[in-house]
Amino acid sequence: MTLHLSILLWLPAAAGLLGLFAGRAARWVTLAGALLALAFSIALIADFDTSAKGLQYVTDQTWIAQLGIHYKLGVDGLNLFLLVLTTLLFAASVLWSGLDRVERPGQFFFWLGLAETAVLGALLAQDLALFVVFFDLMLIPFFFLTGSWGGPGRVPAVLKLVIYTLVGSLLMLTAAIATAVLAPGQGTTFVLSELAHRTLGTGSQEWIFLCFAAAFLVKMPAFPLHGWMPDGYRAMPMPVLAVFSGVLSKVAAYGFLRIALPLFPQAAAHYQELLLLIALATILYGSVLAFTTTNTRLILGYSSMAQLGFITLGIFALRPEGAQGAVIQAVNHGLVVAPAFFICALLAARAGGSEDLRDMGGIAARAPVLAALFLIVALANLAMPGSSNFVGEFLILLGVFNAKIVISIVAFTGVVLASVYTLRLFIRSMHNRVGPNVVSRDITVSDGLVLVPLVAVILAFALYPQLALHKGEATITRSIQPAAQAAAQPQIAATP
Amino acid sequence: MTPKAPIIDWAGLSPLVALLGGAVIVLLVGLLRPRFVREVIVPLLALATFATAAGLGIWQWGEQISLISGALRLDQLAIALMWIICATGAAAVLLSWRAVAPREAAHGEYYALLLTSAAGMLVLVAAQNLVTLFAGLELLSIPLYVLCATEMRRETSLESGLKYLIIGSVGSATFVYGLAFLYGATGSTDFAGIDRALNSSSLVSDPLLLTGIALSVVGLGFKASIAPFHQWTPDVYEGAPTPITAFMAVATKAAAFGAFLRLFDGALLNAQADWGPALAALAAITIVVGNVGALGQTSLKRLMAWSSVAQAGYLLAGVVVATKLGLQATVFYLAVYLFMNIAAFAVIIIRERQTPLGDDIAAFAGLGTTAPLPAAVMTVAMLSLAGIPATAGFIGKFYVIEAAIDGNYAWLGIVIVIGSMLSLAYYLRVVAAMWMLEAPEAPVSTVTGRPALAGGDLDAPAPGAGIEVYAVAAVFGVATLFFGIVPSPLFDLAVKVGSSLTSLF
Amino acid sequence: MAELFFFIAGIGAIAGAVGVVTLRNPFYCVLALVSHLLSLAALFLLLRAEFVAAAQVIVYAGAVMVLYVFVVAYIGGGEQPALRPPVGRGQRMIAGLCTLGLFAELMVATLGSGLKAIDSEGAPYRPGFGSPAQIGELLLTKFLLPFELASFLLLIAAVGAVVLARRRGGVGEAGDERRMSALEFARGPAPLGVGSMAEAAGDIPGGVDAESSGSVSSTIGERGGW
Repeated sequence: MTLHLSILLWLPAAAGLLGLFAGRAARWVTLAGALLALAFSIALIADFDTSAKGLQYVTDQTWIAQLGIHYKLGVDGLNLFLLVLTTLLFAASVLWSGLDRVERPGQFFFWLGLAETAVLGALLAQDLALFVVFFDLMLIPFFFLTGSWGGPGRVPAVLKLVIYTLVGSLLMLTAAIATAVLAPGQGTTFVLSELAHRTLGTGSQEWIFLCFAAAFLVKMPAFPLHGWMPDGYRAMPMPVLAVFSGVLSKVAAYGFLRIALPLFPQAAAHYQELLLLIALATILYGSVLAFTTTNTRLILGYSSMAQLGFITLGIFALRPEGAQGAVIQAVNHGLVVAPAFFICALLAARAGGSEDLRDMGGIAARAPVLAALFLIVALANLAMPGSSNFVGEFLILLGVFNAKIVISIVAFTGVVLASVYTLRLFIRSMHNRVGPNVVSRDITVSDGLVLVPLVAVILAFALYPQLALHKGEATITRSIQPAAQAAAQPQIAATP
Repeated sequence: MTPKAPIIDWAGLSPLVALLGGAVIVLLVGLLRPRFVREVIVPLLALATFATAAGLGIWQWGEQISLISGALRLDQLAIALMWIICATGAAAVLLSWRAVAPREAAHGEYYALLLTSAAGMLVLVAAQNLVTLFAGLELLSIPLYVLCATEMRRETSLESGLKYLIIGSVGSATFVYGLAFLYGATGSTDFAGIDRALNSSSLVSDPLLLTGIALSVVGLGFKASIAPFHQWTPDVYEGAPTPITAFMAVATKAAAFGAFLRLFDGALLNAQADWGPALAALAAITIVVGNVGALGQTSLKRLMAWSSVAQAGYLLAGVVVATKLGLQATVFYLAVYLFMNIAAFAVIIIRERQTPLGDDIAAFAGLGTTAPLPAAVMTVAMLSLAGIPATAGFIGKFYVIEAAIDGNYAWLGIVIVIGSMLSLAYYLRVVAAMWMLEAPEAPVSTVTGRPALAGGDLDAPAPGAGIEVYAVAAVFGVATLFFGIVPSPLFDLAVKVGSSLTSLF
Repeated sequence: MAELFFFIAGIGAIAGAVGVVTLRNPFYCVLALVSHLLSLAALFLLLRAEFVAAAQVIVYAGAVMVLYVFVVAYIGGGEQPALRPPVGRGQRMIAGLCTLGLFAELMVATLGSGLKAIDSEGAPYRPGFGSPAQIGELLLTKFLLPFELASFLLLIAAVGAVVLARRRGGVGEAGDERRMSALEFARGPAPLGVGSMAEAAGDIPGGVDAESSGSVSSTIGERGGW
């Protein structure tokens, strides 16, 4: 118990705040903070006690006594690897933007540091109110990062993004308060472990669950609620987009496992099919659009959507293997999408600044290292057997197969489509006819500094996915257990 | 029979006496000739008066007594709201320090009117008798009507005063009519007597009582700018001198909701079945109307006016539920509202005095690069008003929603968050203008920050935004952030206030 | 006897009110208002509210009416053209319809109640209720605070009126220096530009820089002023 999670949580924001007054040195200060946080989270993995049940490194303090809100942080198998993913991607993003020279660096890195703290907070929080606080807070740094440093049309796009996603979050605020207020028992509490024992009535569970689901599905984004995604992705600066796409959507998936399933098991079982269908629709819609669009950012955006569909599918299989696959896939996707966006930026730089696939082609000619790295990322993205993504998707489909066989068969087409759009992206940019303004050159050392570690982690994870499987198994199984039981015995769930 | 003289508890009455006495002193000192006395001593005296009243409130904290044959009730609710009013008043004094309005209206008169209005608010929140209630309402309103018109050379200021006078009088008349009905139905002007009458008899469905309740809701609704009685708000807020707008926005709201709490959650508690659903509907309408109205505004003062309408809706939700939690949430939200609103208005004043664009949103374009600190304060204020975490506004909204759900008004909680979503669209527009747009090309004039005058000389030196305005902005901005992260002190206060109305549980 | 008295006073009140809004000559309007107020006072007496009746006669029919007459005399009634509100035909139609609707509603409400209350004796009351003595006693005991607040309210209302009246004479550029100070007031003749009644009525041009302030008042006059 020597590792204090508060240090991990506040380190990036503190570094960012320091950077605000550090002038030109802001990026180094923030980078130091991000790297320290990364080191901290790696130390967590090493120190994590796999055999222990429940939360570890718990920090529990009363924040607002009158409302029963605690400042409670903890790590278990569910969030351990997401924490590492977050710190890793943020470190890469800070490094990337540090090498890129942004305007007003003080403010930029302040917001980036705050964003990291907010995401870590949402992952670490073991109190419902604290989770809501960080979940809502996550958006504000991205609002500023996109609005001030984004591409053309950024202000309308970012307003749309923030309002769209906060709609869900605010509904969740009401739902969270209702969870605590309506729960039976003495006094009000927002601590998750307490709330798990105070099961709500089925009627309240259902509307509260729907509010939470709306918040998470918007954030992911899932099929009918993705309206903010194209504009937002187009306007965001690339380093920011890499963490946004890599991490924020995972927090939503994590929210299902951490909050929605354990607290509202009956409702989750009740709406299982609805959510499976939404997940399916998201997979198909995302895959098809990723196949048809030509903007490289949006290809990755829609591909992320499809991947998030898979993750949701795995969660709502309501079976241990599905949920495990979902967690692994969440980490995998984050690891893949961040370097993919970085490569996109490199490609755009080589295609005369255009991010359109039609303007690219033949970039591989004089860039063997770039091509090789891109190939690794692409193969990971299409879940090549041997990659960790394969393990994740396999577990997810296995879970769904055991729960709803028809859905798993349809979902399988998503896997096929993934190879199609990923290979299309790779081939049309790297090979094919040379684009009009394409100047092929290999990556520089500083590019490699960002890209190579990320790809190395993908490889490492592909070789040894058991690390995550093993450490997470017990917790993940426990978190979906109530919902799985409720789903298995619907007649009992119907009579509370 | 010789009438028995009422017992006057001077200690309990001392804050009110301080405010009224301070008003008289300020008025008289303002007649002295030296410029220094009028422009420095008089505002300082006004500040000292607010500080004295607040300090006397600290001294009397914890008392729960009736004053002067039950005219006033001195309890934590009254004192807490008085602190909010005094803080607003002090901020208004500082914001007026170099403003045009007090120069044109004469300093003594200006600050005396301000102090009297604050005294009226104190009476309103402490009143536990229909007659006192009405006297307080008038004492608060009439000075405000005049204060709105004190930028005498600006036509909109005069128009604002006139409009407020006329509509405010309609509100007052409706209110007093409603009070007469309440008296007629229950046979008592004391809140305690009304409560007894409602408790012991089947008055609850009496048409006389219902009429009285309806009319007094309308009357107070005018003061608190609850839709559909809010139409005056944008025009008056826009026209009035900005320090007065800030004062009106916060203090009047605190006073009106103090009266709401005492009248509805105190005297009329037993008739909650009658007024509860009606007030809940009004709250929902107010939230929607206020937020929708603010969407298209370009004048920040108008925007703040519509936003204050919406906030009145949130506050009303705390009254509707008629629980101790609701009372606490309302008081908490009022305190939070004080911080974020004054911070926002202070920045508006800074910009108003620096640019010829006045309070137009264009005056804020690119502020993040030219003046990061005011922009940061404004950002915090806007985010807080929108209810973003890590600001006090979030905690306030959290508390109100919790009270609503706890009081079986979960749908009102949903309406509140839907309102917050709508509100994001306009609050974030201001934030976006500051950080994401370029500063306007036109050279920023330092000559005059005042809109066109209705007459008189144009060459009078425009007041700059002095250190005091920046200080107000900084203090209230930091408070907004501080209480968003460490809200416990405010919660303690709210919980103590919760023990004021003993009939609630 | 009481019924007869009621109907006479009631008809008087309504006739007076109608007269106020229909008569063209402001003086006649004021006189009609006086008759209306006196009839109201009679109705108050019927309700055994002696104090209110007396206050009505002394304050409204007396003092306030004298002020009205003064104002009318100042402004010089008589040849005023009839005020034509700037509204279109459609608005007038709507206003008329609304009035008719309100009238119908009131008629339904009044007649629907069957005018039962006319025959009754009204609410019971304690002897001495509403008498001047009792009201006076209440004002000095139970309602002492509102009474005192009302006096303060009058004071501050007067201050406010002075503040607003001052602008009629225009606020001089360096008006601060010329404003009335208590000492100066005691020393000699009242300085100009202090917002006195005479200035307000336009007898004395306000302020030393009479030209500029004259232009101010004319601007305001054109715009309607107060």
